[in-house]
Amino acid sequence: MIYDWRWLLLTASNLLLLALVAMVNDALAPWGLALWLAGLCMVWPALRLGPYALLGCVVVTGLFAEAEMPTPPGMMTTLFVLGAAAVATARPWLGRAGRAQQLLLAWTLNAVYFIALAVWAGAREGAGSAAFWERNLVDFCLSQTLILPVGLWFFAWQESVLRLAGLPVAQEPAGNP
Amino acid sequence: MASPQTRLLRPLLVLTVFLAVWWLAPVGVRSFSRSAFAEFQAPAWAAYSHLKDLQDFWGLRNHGQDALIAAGRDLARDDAYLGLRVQQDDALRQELERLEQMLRLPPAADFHYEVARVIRRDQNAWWQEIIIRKGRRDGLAPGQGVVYAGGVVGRVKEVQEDTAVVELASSPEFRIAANLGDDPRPVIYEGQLAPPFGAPRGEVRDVPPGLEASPHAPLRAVSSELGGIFPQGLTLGWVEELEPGSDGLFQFGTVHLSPDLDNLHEVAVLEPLAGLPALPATTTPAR
Repeated sequence: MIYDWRWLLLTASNLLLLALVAMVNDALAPWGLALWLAGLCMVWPALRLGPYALLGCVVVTGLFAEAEMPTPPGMMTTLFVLGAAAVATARPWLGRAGRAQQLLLAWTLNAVYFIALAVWAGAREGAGSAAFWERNLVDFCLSQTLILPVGLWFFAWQESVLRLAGLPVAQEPAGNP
Repeated sequence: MASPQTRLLRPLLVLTVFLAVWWLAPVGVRSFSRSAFAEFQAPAWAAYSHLKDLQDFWGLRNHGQDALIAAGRDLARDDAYLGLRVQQDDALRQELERLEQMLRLPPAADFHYEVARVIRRDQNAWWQEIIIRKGRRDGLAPGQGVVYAGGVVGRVKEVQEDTAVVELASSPEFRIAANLGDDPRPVIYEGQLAPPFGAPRGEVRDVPPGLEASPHAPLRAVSSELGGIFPQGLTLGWVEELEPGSDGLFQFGTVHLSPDLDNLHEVAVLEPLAGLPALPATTTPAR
């Protein structure tokens, strides 16, 4: 296989997840709660794709995610790229990561992204506000708890999409750019 | 054939090179890519919003005839009351124009109300925004005020072709001049993040001494026309307590905003009719 088309399907899956989370956040707004599950988007591409396909997937996902965020342009894309690079580089040690390892990776990446955003926002708004940290804590606990069941569904979804498209699931195809 | 070590580091190398190129690129390139991606996904969100409207429509169709008759009766009452208020407004407007001419005052700012549906809310600990279904094509521009039936919503922050991002009055970045009750002296209003499950709120600062508020006799915080983006007298919220500030000269207090601010479906953007003679306020319906 000269060109790895899997990146398109994995990117589309990431965009679907981001859109679903945005819809859930829309519904959660009256309760003063919000979900952040972007850590799930990096795991499968980083464990399955070659470097160029991974770059395409991560950059498109990052640019979509941050398109309507007030963060500095490129901040989320950079964080996504760094997270994916870390997982992809550790791939030989991770071996064929099972669901539990995938969930652990997603959980860790999500926590790192969440803390990075909280630190950025804290510096911007003034970290003195008790409500700011209280809300961060509740959102963090909610997100890190829900990432486990949502992750199980999302990884199964990505696997199903690749199988339905007749594309390899387990390993990076030979000759992959 | 690449050595196993090179192959191992290949993802890291590729992504490092990308990051170097990305951060060396001019800020304009990054801003353009963000804007392009926002424009690209805007139609999908607009379609989602239309689907929600359709869902509401089918939900309303399930209402019985009795409910429709009751709603029609209530609307007729509101219509009659508002018809009278419009006549009063016309008389007041003529009086205002007469006084402006007599005293040679500049005309009061007037606005065109561009009504827009809310596509989705994006409210978390880091930012407090909503996205609306009107944009540059409808004459919206960053900085314009946004209101709803209950008062002030916020300010337009970013504008795309057919959508716009509105920063809510509960955002700590939102700051405007305001008035408390009937007192003409201006105070500063700024948004404050509410705790989880809490109602939206803000804060008034630089409140002059002598003003008092209590839960039994709260003061209404209203917009001031000093900022130029809102007309005078739109409700921001209610102040139930004022405390002396650290300087001992001024007071400050929490503003309780309406819980409706977290559950908006339709808002109106105030487009200033700058440079034009004061005209009756006009409204463009939501799409």
